[in-house]
Amino acid sequence: MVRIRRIWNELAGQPAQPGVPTGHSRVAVDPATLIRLRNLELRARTVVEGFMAGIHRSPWHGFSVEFTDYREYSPGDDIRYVDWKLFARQDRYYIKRFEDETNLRCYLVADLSRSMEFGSTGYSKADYARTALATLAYFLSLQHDAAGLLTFDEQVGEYLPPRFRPGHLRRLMVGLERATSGRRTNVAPCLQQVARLTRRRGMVVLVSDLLADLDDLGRNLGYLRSQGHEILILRILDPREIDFQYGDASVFEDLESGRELFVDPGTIRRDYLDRFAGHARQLEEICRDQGARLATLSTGQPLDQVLVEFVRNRRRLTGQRTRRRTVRPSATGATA
Amino acid sequence: MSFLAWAFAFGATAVALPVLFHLIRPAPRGRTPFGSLMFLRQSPPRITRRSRIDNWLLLLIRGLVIVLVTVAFMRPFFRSTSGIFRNAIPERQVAILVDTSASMQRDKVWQEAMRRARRAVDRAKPGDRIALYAFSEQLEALVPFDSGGVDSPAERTARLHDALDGLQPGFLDTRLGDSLMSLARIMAELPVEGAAGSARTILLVSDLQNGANLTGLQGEDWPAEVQVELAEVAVATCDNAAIRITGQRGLTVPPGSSGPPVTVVNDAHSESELFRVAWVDDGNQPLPGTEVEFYVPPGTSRTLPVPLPADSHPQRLLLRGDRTAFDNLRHVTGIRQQQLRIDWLGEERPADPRSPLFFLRKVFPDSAGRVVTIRTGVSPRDYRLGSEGMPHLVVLNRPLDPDEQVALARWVEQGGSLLAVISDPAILDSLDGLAGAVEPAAADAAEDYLMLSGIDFSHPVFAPLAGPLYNDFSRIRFWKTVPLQPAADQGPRPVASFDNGNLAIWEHRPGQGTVIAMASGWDPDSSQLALSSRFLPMMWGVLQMSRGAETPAEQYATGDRLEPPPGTRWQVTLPDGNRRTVQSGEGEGSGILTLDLPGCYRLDDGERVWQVAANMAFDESLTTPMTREQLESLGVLTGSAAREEKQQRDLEKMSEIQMEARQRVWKWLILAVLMLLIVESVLAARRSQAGRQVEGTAS
Repeated sequence: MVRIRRIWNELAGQPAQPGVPTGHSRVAVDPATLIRLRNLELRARTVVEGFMAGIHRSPWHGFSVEFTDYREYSPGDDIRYVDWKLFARQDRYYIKRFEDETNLRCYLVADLSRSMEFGSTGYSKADYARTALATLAYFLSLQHDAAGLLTFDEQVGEYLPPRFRPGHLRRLMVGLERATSGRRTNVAPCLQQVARLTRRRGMVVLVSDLLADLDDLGRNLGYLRSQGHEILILRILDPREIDFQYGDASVFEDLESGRELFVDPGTIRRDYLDRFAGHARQLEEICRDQGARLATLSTGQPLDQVLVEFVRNRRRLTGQRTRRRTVRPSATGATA
Repeated sequence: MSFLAWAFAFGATAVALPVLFHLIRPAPRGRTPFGSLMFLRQSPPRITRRSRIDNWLLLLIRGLVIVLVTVAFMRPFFRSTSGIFRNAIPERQVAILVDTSASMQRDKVWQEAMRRARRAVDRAKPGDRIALYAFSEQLEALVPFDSGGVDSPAERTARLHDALDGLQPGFLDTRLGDSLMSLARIMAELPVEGAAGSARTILLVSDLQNGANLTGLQGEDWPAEVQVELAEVAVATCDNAAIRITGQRGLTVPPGSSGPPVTVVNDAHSESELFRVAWVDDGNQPLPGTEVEFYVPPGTSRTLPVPLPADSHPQRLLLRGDRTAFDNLRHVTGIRQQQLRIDWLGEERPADPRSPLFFLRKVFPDSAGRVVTIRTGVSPRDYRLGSEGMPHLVVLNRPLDPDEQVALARWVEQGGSLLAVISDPAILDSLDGLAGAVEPAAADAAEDYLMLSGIDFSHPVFAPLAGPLYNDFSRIRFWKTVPLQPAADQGPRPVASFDNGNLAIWEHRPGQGTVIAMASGWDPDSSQLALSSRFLPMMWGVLQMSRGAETPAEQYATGDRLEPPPGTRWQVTLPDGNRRTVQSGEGEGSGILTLDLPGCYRLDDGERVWQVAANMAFDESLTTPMTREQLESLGVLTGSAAREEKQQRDLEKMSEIQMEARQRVWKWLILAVLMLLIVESVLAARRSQAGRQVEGTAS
């Protein structure tokens, strides 16, 4: 647990660019090699352990609880938390406040629609997404955090509420191995379902290619944000979807709808990239407006990048809260 | 260069099609699954690099090999004018016989006929002699074999085309038998030309409709050296019905009927069954209330009355409902029933077979076209010309009292007609000169009977009997006669005399009237006249001389000829509005009126005006084509144009095979193919070797 916090701290200062290795010297596992492993849990463990293996031990030993700020004493406060040293300097009573160590409730939302079956690298986006989600679930289980699962295609599929108990990780892995189905990707009902099912705030990790209309996405993200959820969107894309590097003209078949289209890539590649970039910009604007973090991952990138993005997101949020709660740091000198 | 087997030319497509398809339509190579097509658009096919031809030289050589093999299979040869069998094709003497009858006026039939005739002219070989004849009712030479002067084949072809350009179908009957036989005789008498003897062929360009008259072929031997080729003109439809009008009197209205009965005949191969017949105006618009529906199954006929309009006298009868319109309009005249009245002044014993009145009643039976009423018991005192109920003819056979004589004389002078049967001298006396200046003649008591002689057949009384079959009056004997002779200076016009020289029948014209007098009665006690078949036309002749009893309008077929009686002159208004003069005898305007056009002809001889109608012969409406066997059954040697052409083609084919066998061009082509294959193999081997070297370097 302490080791993971160190990772957060270490990653907080790194540039948040997808695909760029972090500062600690880790040896990333090739996704193609990793996905050859049939056991999903084994894949997750491999990624998480590889992720942690390159992290240097820090000489600093912290506390199990984390100091956040001060506030003035008021009658009724527990005197055990009075900072006597500060009283000695300023002759005023201050109470030390500490951030609660609460377990994180994380909702892993997996897109298992047919479009996720596309893959040009020897494995599909769905395989990559399953491994990524399994990695996160394993990672969270190591922190004793509660992880839930919700799968969807054109409608909501399987739902496992966030738990931290023996056997839950196993059920979650089984739920992830469900086959893809559905004729199209429909994120909206899934997000609405999450909003209905969760009473306590937590973190929602949406893993999808998001190759669909984004009309209702902003509104549904807004619902979740209004409930206090943190949102991380991991957009999984195949390298061919990003660069559209095809040679001969051929009939392109939509994996979801089965629609066929004769396409000459040399002719329309520029148009595709323009429209693809426009869609990505629209998605980024929506996420920015709703305060959600968007990370676009190519299936060619190492899977520990998922953890990097996850940790960055957590760190970003913690940092924001810390900065927001820091009161008069220069005036008090307590944080120096 | 020509080829024996053109069908192998399709083999050349074996090289053209793959190249074409390869270049034009690059088929997409398989299917590419993709996550979402939301960013993709349909792109038009384009020629990609893999679609382009990389090695032109090899492709050309290989294509050339296929083409040469194809050409070799086509058995090429070079034509030469000295073909072995070309001289064996005999020259021909061909008479193109074009049908210009009325049935050729059907839609597209004439155009097809002209096309066939022109094709025959154009396909003629330089040695052929082509003549052009046309026929409908008779044969007409347009460009005969011996047309004077020696013209070149090109000039003759031009003449033939000019003659065909000026040819038009008429409205006349089809006398195919007469025309074929006449032309066959002409061709049989042509001089023999050429060493082998030229074939003589009649190319008959006709619709060969069933109504064509073939009687001219019966009883005649067809010349063995003349053959008939049938260039049958394809007929689009046999759906035809026509109005049939029989008899020269045309349509008449029976008593008690609203209109004349009209017969519609439907062809046996017709497809229509329901027709409409109506009287129409000049614009062929049906007159109100005259249209009648005829349901006539194919191969049958039906007769129904077509009501006449109340206030007009239409002359055009139109049939509608079939798809062949050339014969649907019929022209008719004389469609009213004529009411004639004769007053009998004489003994009134109509039931007595020895009474003159008995025979007079037998002469004028009622008919659909004319009703003659014989009144008895009347007195001429009440005669007023022009007033209602006046007789057209008065037959007198009794003495008149003075008042009657005065009244009758006045009526006659005003235009009345009188037939005076002077079987008793008292009758002549009571007439008081109304019968003309005649005086008693000496009677020859020794003679038992008298006969007619000195008959004026130009007179209307005897004009119908002028023919040699009818002008024998030697069997009509007269026992009781009144011996009379014309007065010396101003006697009446004798029409017939007795063989003793006395007057028998004479004509006198007092004032505007006419008096025909007979010096004998016709009853059996007086003569055999009433018992003779001549009596009826004589009496009709007398009646028709009366004012108001003109000759009924008559019905003719186109092509019929009318000849004016001697000494008369007709002013004729033709159906197209033109006028012409037809005069009997010799000189300008003389001759015969030929009814070439269908329609109504108006004739004026100075004394009276009447109309005749001419229509196409009904046989022209029998448009179902006849069979070749019908002609062959009459002895005509028919040959098929197709068979002739096939024979000619066979000869030419043999000539071409012979030429190809001698030249053997295909062997050279195969040799060229082998050479090309060697070159292609060498080139392909070099390229393959170069490709392997490049691959080796890369690896």
